[in-house]
Amino acid sequence: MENFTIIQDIAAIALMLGGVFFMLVGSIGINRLPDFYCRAHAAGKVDTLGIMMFVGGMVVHEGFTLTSAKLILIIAFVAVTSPVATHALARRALLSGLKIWERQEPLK
Amino acid sequence: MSMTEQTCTLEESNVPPRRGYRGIVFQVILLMAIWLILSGHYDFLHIFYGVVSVAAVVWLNLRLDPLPLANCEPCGTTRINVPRLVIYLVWLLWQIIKSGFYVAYLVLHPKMPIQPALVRFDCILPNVLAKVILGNSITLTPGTLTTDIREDRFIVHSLTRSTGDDVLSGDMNGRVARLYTKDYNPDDLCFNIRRTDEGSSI
Repeated sequence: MENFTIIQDIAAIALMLGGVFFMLVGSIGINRLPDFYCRAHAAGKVDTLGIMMFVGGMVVHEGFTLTSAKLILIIAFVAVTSPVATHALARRALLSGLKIWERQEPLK
Repeated sequence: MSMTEQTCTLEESNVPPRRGYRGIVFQVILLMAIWLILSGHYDFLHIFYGVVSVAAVVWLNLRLDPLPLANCEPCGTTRINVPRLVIYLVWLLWQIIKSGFYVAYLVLHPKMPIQPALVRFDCILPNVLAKVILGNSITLTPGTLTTDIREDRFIVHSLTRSTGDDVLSGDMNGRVARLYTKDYNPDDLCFNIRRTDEGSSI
């Protein structure tokens, strides 16, 4: 039982640190990427993974309780709504005629 | 089977879709489960409130116009294949993880090796719900973002050259189509391709 708690804590901390890392990378991406569409990639995907990992860490920390069931519901709703929100933003941008950024010189 | 025979438009679906009891039962079970998880009180009064709420929500849902799940035979049935859906969801979760790592790698790379492009293709899917599933899945998979869906035409923003190739391979279209139908040819599911990184306009 003791060992199990330690493993549980390690897994929870690892997942939460991973989540924090991805949310940080998402924010860096929003600053670094060249145009709106690329930034939507960073906001819509890296942040989704970050939130899912962070909440997953909380589920592991919580164990088999009602609270973790609620947390799993949060994961499911984030996984469903996040791409829809990203798509809605990108679609509006495309329809209003925002041009995409293209690399002028070819990649080495 | 030629493309024209397979084309499945909304106009053909003027037959009102049958709304079986299966869907209602499924809805009640799902809503009740969510209620029980979120409430956490299992005495008579709270469960009674739950039953009343579920009944109200199901009644409202029945009054909504049903999704135009086109009733077109050449494209297969509209009933989703549940075991395949489970496999698909596991695959999709794996794609989400890969996607996060891939975009994180691109963002943190000192030179940022991105080559964005808009990619356009047409895809014939059995019904509207399948298009929604495909659009969401494209957004969740590495380096691609659905920007527009109009009729059968998808416009996708891809972050690099290789992710654009992945979308145009038709692999995911096949996976979504297989949720509904058995017989398909991957090439039939992805055609009229255009991409801005090859000089064509969308």
